[in-house]
Amino acid sequence: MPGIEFLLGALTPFNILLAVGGVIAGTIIGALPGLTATMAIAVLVPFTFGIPPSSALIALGAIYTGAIYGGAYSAVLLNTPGTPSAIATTFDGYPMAKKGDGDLAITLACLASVIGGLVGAAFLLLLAPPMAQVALKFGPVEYFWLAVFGLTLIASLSESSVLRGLVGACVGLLLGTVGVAEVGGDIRYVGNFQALLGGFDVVSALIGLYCVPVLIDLVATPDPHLKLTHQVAGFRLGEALRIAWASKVNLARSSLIGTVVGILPGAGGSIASLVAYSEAKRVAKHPERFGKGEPDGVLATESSNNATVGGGFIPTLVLGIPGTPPDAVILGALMVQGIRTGPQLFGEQSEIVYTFIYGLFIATILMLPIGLVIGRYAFKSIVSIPKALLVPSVAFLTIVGSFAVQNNAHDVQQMVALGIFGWLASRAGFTASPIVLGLILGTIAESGFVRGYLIGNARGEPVSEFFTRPISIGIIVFILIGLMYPVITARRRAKGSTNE
Amino acid sequence: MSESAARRDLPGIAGAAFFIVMGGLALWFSREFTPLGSVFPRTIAVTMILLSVAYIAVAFLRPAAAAPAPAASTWRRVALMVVLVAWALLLERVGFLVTSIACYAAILVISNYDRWTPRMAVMYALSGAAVLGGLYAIFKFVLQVPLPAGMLL
Repeated sequence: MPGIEFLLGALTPFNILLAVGGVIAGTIIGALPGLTATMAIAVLVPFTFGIPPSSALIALGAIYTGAIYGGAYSAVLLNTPGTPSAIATTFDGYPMAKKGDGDLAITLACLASVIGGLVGAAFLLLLAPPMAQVALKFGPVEYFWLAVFGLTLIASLSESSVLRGLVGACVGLLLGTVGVAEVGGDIRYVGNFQALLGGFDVVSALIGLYCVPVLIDLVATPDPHLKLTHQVAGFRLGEALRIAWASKVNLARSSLIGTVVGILPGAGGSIASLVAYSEAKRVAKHPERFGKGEPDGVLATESSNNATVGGGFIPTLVLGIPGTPPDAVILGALMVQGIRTGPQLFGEQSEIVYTFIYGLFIATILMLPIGLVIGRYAFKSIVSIPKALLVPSVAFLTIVGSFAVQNNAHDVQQMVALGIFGWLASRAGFTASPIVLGLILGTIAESGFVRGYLIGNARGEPVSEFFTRPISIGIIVFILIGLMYPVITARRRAKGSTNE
Repeated sequence: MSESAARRDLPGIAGAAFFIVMGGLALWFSREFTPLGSVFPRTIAVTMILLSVAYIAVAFLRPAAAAPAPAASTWRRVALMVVLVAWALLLERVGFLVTSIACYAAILVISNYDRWTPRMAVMYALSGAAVLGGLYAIFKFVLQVPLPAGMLL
């Protein structure tokens, strides 16, 4: 293991100050719907240009890890994921908040984020070069199947029916084809709306599809937005620690899933958290509790999405290929700093890279007290604010957040249009998550599909290209298991009830 | 299952029918694309149509228990949608700040179920101004987002 001198290098007061500031800034930005981890880093990256490279990396890593955790706040308290990584956190986090356990959900999210972040950072420290080679084994076809895997997972996790979930995923994929095609350059489904040339922006769609339906339903009844069953007196840390300890296997598994998925360039926290959630549900003693406020669901999603931070840095630093979108921004910042990524980074510039990795550990550990304090404050504020003030304030955030994506009013119009569409779809039973994930994964899926199709065509076997590669076969098996799982559990449950 | 409990999922069937039409339109318009640009949307559109047809078939064969719809105010929902659409359309022309103040106030009125009192009106106006002003300042001056000034501000 790399020496203690790097740890001491990371422990300077300046670096700790940067880590604290980065975590606070990242958490707050990540908590605001519309401002993603990528945006948090992009906005704050110029502040790091004037400081030493290892300190700059520590600040960026702290912002990143804080933003991924911050996404959980709005997911739990407003049913709106602050970042795409927190989509699956809404499944159980919001039901927990509705039941009056929002503070517990936030504390669990914080604990899980810290544990997941530490596991990801440990892999980055110990196994970065060999694990980066795994990512190189993934070709276009494997990325296509990986995207399909993510979509089938979310479809099978749909509360109502797998068919509805799959239709929703197709709607998202189809919406993702609007605009100029990435492969081939066709202009598709734009009509006379020039604003659609760039396609639907994922962040605007995320805000619209999740947030607007919630607002529309909030104004429809006089009921309070969240219940408060007890006095907010503490962090409920003891209770959360007991739950986390009882779910240590879930936490370890989800953190590992997050690290491995984070290593795959482009896959990111949204797939990682869905895979981890699905696995947690599959092996749970009471899978029927998932989606109704099960703490294990929050632990799985939040540990896995924060593990992608360390995992994503592996291909970024070793291969120069960004593992996740925020890594791409960090890669750009590294270039400005004059750092050349690649295997030589761990040899020639080991001081910078190992100081950064230890700095990431420190930032992740600091996230526990900082996250708990901010989380408690966020929970108290959201619960105590009258609904008549909360709704217009959240509406303002949706408008300004979607505008801030590209400083463009068209994104706001798209957001509102998709929000109303999402509300109508939810009235018909088609939930937002598969549609949003279809939109997010559409580019990866299409790019992989078309490239795989072209390679297969060149070989004269366009179909077998998709079904004969070993990793593809492995992912297809997982897809089939994911699709069959709800049917099998429903049959088991039916058998169980007839036996009783 | 009794007749009252087992109902056809009419909203779901209507939604699936809408997606069949959407898939059909996607296929129709993809005629103009190159083979490379059309292979993916066509595959997805056909898959979506087949899945939607399967959903409708299942909904007819296996009626599900109908959940009672909770009582809700339709006019407030419609009013909120109208305000959001107006907000999105006017912010560039009229100005971000003025549009936001007007729409924020309108949504505040739509969301309030309590009886208005002068004290409440003052409290909400002051709190709303603080929230709106604070968030506006963060985006405009800290995050440097160029919020449009439009005709007014």
